[in-house]
This record gives sequence, C-alpha cells and structure tokens, in this order.
Amino acid sequence: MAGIFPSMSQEVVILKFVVKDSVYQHPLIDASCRVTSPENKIQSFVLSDKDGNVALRAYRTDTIVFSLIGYETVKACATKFTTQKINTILLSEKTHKIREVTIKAQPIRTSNDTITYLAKAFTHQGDVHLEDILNNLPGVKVSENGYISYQGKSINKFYIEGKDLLGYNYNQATRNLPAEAIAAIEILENHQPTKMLRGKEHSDKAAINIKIDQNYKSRLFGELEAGVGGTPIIWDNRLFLTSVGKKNQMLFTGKMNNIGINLSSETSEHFDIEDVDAYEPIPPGLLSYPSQFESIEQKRYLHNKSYSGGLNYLTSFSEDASFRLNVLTYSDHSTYQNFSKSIFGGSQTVELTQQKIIPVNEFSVQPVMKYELNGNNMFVSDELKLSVNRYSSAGSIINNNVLVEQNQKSRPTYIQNYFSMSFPVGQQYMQIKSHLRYFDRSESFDVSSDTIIFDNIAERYSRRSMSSKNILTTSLPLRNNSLKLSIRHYFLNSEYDYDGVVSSIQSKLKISPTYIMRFGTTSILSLALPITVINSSNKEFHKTTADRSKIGIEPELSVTHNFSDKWKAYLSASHGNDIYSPLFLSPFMLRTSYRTNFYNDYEKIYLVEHNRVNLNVGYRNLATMLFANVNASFTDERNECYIDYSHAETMTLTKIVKGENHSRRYLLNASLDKSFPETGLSIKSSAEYSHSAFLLSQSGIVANNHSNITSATLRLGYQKLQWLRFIACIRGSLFWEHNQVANSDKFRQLVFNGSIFIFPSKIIEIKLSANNQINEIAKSQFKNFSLYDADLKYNLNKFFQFSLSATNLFNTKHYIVLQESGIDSYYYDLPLREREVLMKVLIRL
Amino acid sequence: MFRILISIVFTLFSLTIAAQTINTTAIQSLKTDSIHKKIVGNADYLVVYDYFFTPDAEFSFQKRKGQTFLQVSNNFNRFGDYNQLRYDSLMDTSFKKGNQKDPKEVVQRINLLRLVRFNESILFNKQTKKLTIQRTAGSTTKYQYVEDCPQLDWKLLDGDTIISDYQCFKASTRLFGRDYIAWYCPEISMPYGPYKFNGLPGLVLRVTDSLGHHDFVLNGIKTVNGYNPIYYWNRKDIVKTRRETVRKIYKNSCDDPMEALVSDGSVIIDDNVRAKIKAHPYNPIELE
Repeated sequence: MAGIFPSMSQEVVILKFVVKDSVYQHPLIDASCRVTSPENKIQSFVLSDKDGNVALRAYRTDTIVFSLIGYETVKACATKFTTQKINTILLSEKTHKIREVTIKAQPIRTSNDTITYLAKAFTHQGDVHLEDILNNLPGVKVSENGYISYQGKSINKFYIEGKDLLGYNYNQATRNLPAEAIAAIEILENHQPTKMLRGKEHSDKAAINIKIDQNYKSRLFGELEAGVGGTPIIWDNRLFLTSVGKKNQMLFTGKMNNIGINLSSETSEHFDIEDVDAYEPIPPGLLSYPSQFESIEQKRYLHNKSYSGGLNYLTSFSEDASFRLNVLTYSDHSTYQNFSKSIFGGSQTVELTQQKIIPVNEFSVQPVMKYELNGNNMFVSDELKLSVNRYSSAGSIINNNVLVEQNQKSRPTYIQNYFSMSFPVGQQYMQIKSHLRYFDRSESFDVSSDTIIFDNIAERYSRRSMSSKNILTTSLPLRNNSLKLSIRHYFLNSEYDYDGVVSSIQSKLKISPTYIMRFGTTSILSLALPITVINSSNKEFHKTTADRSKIGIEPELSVTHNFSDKWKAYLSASHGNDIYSPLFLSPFMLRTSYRTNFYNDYEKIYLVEHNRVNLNVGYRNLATMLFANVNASFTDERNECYIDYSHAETMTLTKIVKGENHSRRYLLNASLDKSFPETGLSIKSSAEYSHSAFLLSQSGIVANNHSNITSATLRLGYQKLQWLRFIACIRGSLFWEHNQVANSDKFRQLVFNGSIFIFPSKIIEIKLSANNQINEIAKSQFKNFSLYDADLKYNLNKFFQFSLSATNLFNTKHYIVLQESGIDSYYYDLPLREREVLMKVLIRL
Repeated sequence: MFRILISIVFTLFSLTIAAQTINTTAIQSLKTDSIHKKIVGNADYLVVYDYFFTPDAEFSFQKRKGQTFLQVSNNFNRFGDYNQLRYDSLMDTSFKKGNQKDPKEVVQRINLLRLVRFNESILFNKQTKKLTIQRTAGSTTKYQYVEDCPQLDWKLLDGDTIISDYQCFKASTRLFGRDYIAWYCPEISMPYGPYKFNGLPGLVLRVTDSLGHHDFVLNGIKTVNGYNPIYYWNRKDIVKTRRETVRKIYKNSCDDPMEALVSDGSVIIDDNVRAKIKAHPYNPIELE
C-alpha cells in the first residue's frame, strides 16, 4: 500500500475495503483507490492487493475514488463507508475505449544497411592515422599486423570511396592515411562482396568503406616522416601520398631505414585468409642461405639498408567494372654475422667453429594487375601477378681456422594468374576458381679457399615448375542441413636442371562431399569424406624412373559443443596422404654450401600419411572473470623416408634414405586467467608441455629421439588509470632430449618482458620497455642478457609531430645461446646493434 | 640447430600462429525457426514509449534513442524493447509462411535487431508480485533471474502537464540508486508504467531520472484487438542466475572489454594494442 496520510488536524478515519468484480465476485488486483479532497486534489492513493484488499486513511470530507481499466469508476464520500467492517466495492465491467495515440515505430529497412561513423566524433587527441580512429569505433579492432575485424570477424573488403584499391594490403592505407583526411567510416554489415550472390548467400562479415573529407578529395595529400640519429649514423624515412577521385584512385608509399627493420614483409606473398584457394606456396630453394632469424627481434642485430615502395592505381570503367594496378618493390643490403661452435655426436664426434660475416643483397619487384566485373548476374575476376626476386650473399666464414669465401645467388621469378567466376544455375549457383603459375628459380654458389682445394667449387642449379589448381564448388540444402560439394584438381610439373634435366609430375584429384549438421544452438557437426587420387612420376630424358599412385579416403570430422554458458569443447580429427616433396631431384650428389652435400634418389617417390586429433575444452565465467583453457593435440606422421646426416671435419652429407620414419607429436597446453576489472589488474598464466618423437639418423647412429619442451608463463597487466598502464611477462622454459645413445642436459631459460606506458597529457606519449633473458650457456652456468628502450612522442599541432627514441640504453653488445639437441650441442654468439638514438619529425602534407 | 629452433617455435607458438588476427572457426547461428517462447496471456493494451538514454555519464549531452513497449493484461504485464518484439513477431510470421530463409525477410529481421537498444525483457506476475527478467550483459548470452517487484515509495507532488492530450500529474520516487520524476494519468486507470515504475493511480506517460540519463516518453497507446501474446523466451541456452551475477558480468564487460573477447582463446590482441584500449562507458539504469 502507498500514499500520504492526511493532516491530523481534522478527523481521520481508517477504512477497509475489498474490491470485486460485480458479476463474478472475484477480487480485482491493482484497482486504484484515490483519496481526493473537496477541491478534487489527490491526497493519497492505494492499490488493491491480490485479494482485492485495500486499507486507507481519509478525512470524512474526502471522496474515495475506485477505478480500474475496463471497469466503471465508483466515487463516494468517505462518510458513506463504515469503519466497523470491511466495505465491499463492486466494480461493473464497462467497455471503455481509451483515447488511442498512434504508435510511431522506426521503419524497417528492406535493404542491407550501413552504419556511418563520423570520423571527428571518434577521433581522440593523439590519434594520427586511420588505424587509430578504427580502434575507437564500437566493435572494430585492428590487430598488430593490421588485420581489421568487426564484431570478432575479419572484414571481407576494404573500400576507399567504394573502390577496392588495395585488395587485402590495406595496411598501406590504415597506417598512413591521416586522421583529418577522413570524413566518415562506413561499416557495411553482412556484406556480400559478390553482387550476384546478394540475397543468395548470406554473409555474416562486414566491409569497411572509407569516406574522404571533401577538402582532400581529388587532390594529392599525405605525410613525410624523416628520422636521423646515431651512432653510427642511422636513418628512418617514410613518404605517403594519395589522391582519391570519383573514377580514379592512387596511393603511394615509400620507406627506407637502416635501423634493423626488415621491410621484406611489404612485398612477401600475402596469404588471403578469406580465400584459401587463391594461395599456392612458393617452392623452397635448394641452397642453405644464411639464417637471419634468431630467437630475438631482428632489429636488435641486423645491420641493414632497406628500401621499399608501393604504387597502387585503380580506374573504373563503369559501376561494376574496374581495373587495378599494384606495384610493390623492395631492396635490402644487410650484413649478418655471428660466431658459433657446434659439436656433432655420432660414431665419431666432430667439432666445428664458424665465424660468419655475410653481406646480403635482396631485390624484389611485384606488379599485379586485376580486372573485376561485379554485376548482379555475373561475377568475373582475374588477377595477373609477376614476381621478380634477386638474392645474393658474399661472405667470409672462418671454419675451424680455415678461411672460406662463399658467394650465393638466387633468382626466383614467377608469373601467376588467378581466375574466379560465379554464375547462377537455376536457384543455386556455381563457383569456379583457377590458379595457374609458372615458376623459375636459378641458384648458384661459388666457394674459394686457399687451404683446401676440395673447397674450390662453383655450382649452378635451376628449377622450373608449372602448377595449376582448379576448383568447382556448389552447396545444396539437404534435410534441414547443408551439403557442400567440391571437385578439386591440383597439378604440378617440375623440372630440375643440374647437368641434365629430371622432371617430376604430381597430380591430386579430390572429390569432397561435406555434410554440416546443427543441433539446436549447442552443437555443430561437420563430416567430410573426400576421395583422393594421387599420382606422381619422375622422368629423366623422357624415361620414367619412378611412378606411384594411391587412391584413398581422407575423412575429416569436427564437433563443437556448448555444455553450458560457461563450458564448451571442440574436437577435430583428420586423416590424409601426401607426396613427399624433395628439395631437388638429380642423379648426382649436389653441393649446397661450402661444406654440405645433398643427395636424393630420384628413382624413388615417397608417400606421407598423417593423422591429427585436437581437443580443446574451455571455461569462461564472465561474472568472476575467470577463464581457463585446456588444449591437447596429437599428430602422427608416417613417412617412407628419412634424412640421414653424416658430419666430418670438412664435409656434411645429407641424404634422403628409404626407411620407416614414424614421428609423433603431443602437445598439452593449459591456461588460467583471472581479471579484476574494478582495480584494472589482470593475471594470465599458462603452462605447456610438448613431446616430439622422431627418427634421428646421424653419422652411423640411428635412434628414436625424444624431444621435450616445457614452459610456464605469467603475465600481469594494469590498465585502470588513464595516464598509466603497465604490462609484465615472465616465462621460464626447459628443454631436453634423450635417445638410446645420449641424454642431453636440461637447457633452461628465463625471459622477462615489461612495458610501461605513460600518458601525461593527450599530446605526449612515453613508453619504457625492458627485455631480460637468462640463458644457460654451460652446465649450471648462466648468462644474463638485458635490453632497455625508451620512446617519446609529442604532437606540436595537427601538422607536426616530433618523436625521440633510444634503443639498447645500456649498450648490451652480445647475445649468447647454448643448446643441446640429442647427440649435438651448439653455442653461438650474436653481436648486437649498440645503443642508438633516433629523432623523427612528421609533416602532414 | 635450425631444426631445434623450428621445433621450439612450433611447439610454443602452434596455438597462436594461426590466430594472428581473429579465428572464428566455431561460428554458430540460430536455426531459422519460430521463437521458442512460453505464452502466459494475451495483451489487452499496448503502450509504446520512446526511450532516450545516455550511454556515457561523462558526456550527458550525447543521447541515444530506442523504443520500448508495455503489454498489459489481467494477470501479466510485459515490458521490453519494441523492435525486439517486432523481430519476434516477424520471425513467427515468416516461419508460418515458410519463407523464413527468404533473403529479404532475413535482411528485415537483421535490420530490426540493429534497432534494439533496451536489452531487458521484464515479465510482471500480478498474482505473485514477482518480476522475471531476461537480458543480455555485454555479450550475446541471455540471462534470466527472478526478483520481487520493487515497492516504490511514491511522493505525489504539485504540478500537472499535458502529454499526448492526456492530463498528467507529477510524482517522484527513487529506484536502484536514481531519483525519478514521473507524470501519471488517472484518466487511464492502470497503475503501471515503463520499466519497473508501477504503483501510481494512473498510467505513467513519462518518467525521467534527475540527471536526464534515462527518459521514457509515451509514443503511443492502443487497445489490442486480436492476437498479441505476452510471453517469455524459453530457449535452452538461456542461463538462469541471480541479479547480482548479471550486474557483475555487465560491469566486467564494460571495465575490460578485451578480456571477454580474448577469454576463450579465439582472439589474440597484441599487448601494445591492448594498452591503448579504453574501458567502455558504464551508465546502467540501475546503479545499485
């Protein structure tokens, strides 16, 4: 009951009522009982309860009003009721039409809609480029390597003013387009890029369309960034220019640096995660190239002079048809150096020390042309790509006190065409995809040494291949689920030229029906039963030297199940067969470096059979912010051959040998995370164990080797204060191997990484970071290795930004690692880039 | 040496190497069927309110707009998002016609869901005076809990106004940490209103909190002729829990939006990116 009790200066009575329906005599719930004064002002009120009961206080001069929608209102003076008993009030039903007010509902749009975000509303102080604005938009995330996602799913297209200028290389735009040049960002939800599939194939992915500010349209604009520092003299420069018009678009990026940042990723083959069928890996080279990838960041040790450029141009013929040209180029001159000491076990132990100083030159240019017709009744796309690469290294190696000079060259070039077409067939549709490539790689190396004649040698190798991949796909509804049918044919013809030509032909036909079943909203089961036909043959002088065929079924199963809102599991299993692809085929022994020989019997073709099982169980409690994951995977591989190594003082021989090679890998990973959002603290912990069993064949010893790695990681994060954030991560790992011949000592490593971000104001950003490693370099002997960096950015105004960065503040000079593997051990010392300070200025054009 | 490095890299990073961005292999979607629901009655009256709210208390001038509905019958009332109600109705109609997978129907439903702004459905049982609440809390998971209908302490104030040609009188109250002013109309003798604002001697046509962050204003009212079911969802994946738990989940999702996203391992966000992601604004209608 609720209400205000009247003043006590007049006589107040307490009245009790029961309110009922006059016909059926049942009590009326929530009938309103108002007490109004003689001036008709509401003094108090009460609602009847579920039994129709009401109790109220009123002055004798007040009027009691009983009302309920659908019933006639009853009014009476308080004096009409008795205080001695419960008064019964009967309300009669009355058809009472309320005065309706027309409901004005928001219209339902019948076409796919677009969410438009005005860029200025989502630009914060300190945001410089388009990528910074994208990170502010609800549901949009940009990852470390630049991939954009919306609501947890990768975008399927990136447009600028409705045109696809950059394909999936949109980093060039997101990381360079200045924020003030952006007028709006449109999110095209449920975007189906192929017009003829709109309405037929629903897409749950979004596309992004960038609208350029009117003041920047149809004119050239961009950024120029210049950085210089020392010591010795270092530089890091960048130029970005773009022009966006109604029909034509152009975008240019140019970068150059000698601060150890490798720019080769600007031109490396882009793996399109949306269209796996468009990807075909590049065949690896035969020669052993100096490894420039260590277990620490490349910019710590690489001495380079790198240049990269990208020119992109698009022109529209009509609303549906366009032509695009992208040219990417990269050039690098770098020097790689380290000192290593290796001890190879076996029936005779071999010790090898090497001091390497190897200058490397790389050059790459990749022009791409693409035509696309994206109409309502037809989709046709054709992309032609040429890739020309040059690699050369000329270095000195001191090998067991003997000076060896080795020059290597590689010239991989390829031209490829990717054709894709979709067209309607009745109510359904068909998709055709065809990938065609011609590849040519020539390699050479020359070795000279004054001391040992055997080392003076010059070799030339060449590999040419033609590959084609053709796919036909359609999807049919079947018993409330879906059946996907695809036919896929892969063909590869390779020629290996070394003092004579050996050719290899591989063919794989796969007919794959996949049935996908959904069980409510908790489970999805997918079962595929592809039938594959594999054929491979080798020939020398048109005479077949080896021929293998295999027909098989390669089943794949995956199950996803949600036990509850907190627990879910995923299981997958697959079985497959492949042909073992050798690096090179030749009847001769091949020299691949100044001390390494390689031999593969071209009269044999080997098959590989693999089985994989993966299980993942996850727990998520969003109330307590406790999350846990356990993942277990098992891979079993049976190969008909293995690699045998024989080490001598001046030579290493690597042979492919026929024999049963059964390898297994177990991986177990568990993680436990807990967050405390109110304090801004998060704790993440994980533990991993992996075990690999593989055949080891070296210097007369054949053994089953067991390799074990275990590690534990603890990460702390703090993100509560606007002006301060920090992240700290500690990881310890243990590695050991054992086999029938030897047990290695446990190799231990402890790594610490920490970063502090300080935002004293909206125009200043400071970052301090530390990396500390403790490596075991000999039994129970540890070496500590630390690197510290600092960065400062200052935005003067919207045209100028200054930054200052210092790396390796305490001038750590060497990175030393010791490892033992089975019957071998390795020690290497990597000289690092010394302390450097770099000042930069950014000018917005 | 190189083999060892490769095996270390593979085993330590095999879980992350394919997930440099986002891995959404386990995508699920609702089977296109009629809405799973339990009908408890048929509405006699339908009231629609415009709902204006402030997502971020720090920027109170920035408002968003939605539409909510109140269904009234003898034994049950239901309050929720009007576009969600239209979505459910369209789904049922499409299913009955057999064209639930028609692309145009799909697009219409999707566009209705995009208009949903109020994420709670409140079913009021007049017999037991209990509220059954179904809602989301920062993700797509639906939660359900039962609570007693709040007994509001209304104070009648001087003042009257006209809303949609109805004379209304003023009252004030406090609910879950906010102070409100309500305008009720005795001419429409229903002691109900939007959200949980019941108990006045007339339908509430407008109610606003003292900060102007949550404002319900009458949009329309009509007598229902025909089928207009009052129901609650009874899908199996609705999580039954308590009010405190749901409030905690929602607060967590606002304080640390990244954590919920990366918690199941399907999304990996670089530390440098995470350091710059801010918390989402938290300004719910119930502050306590």
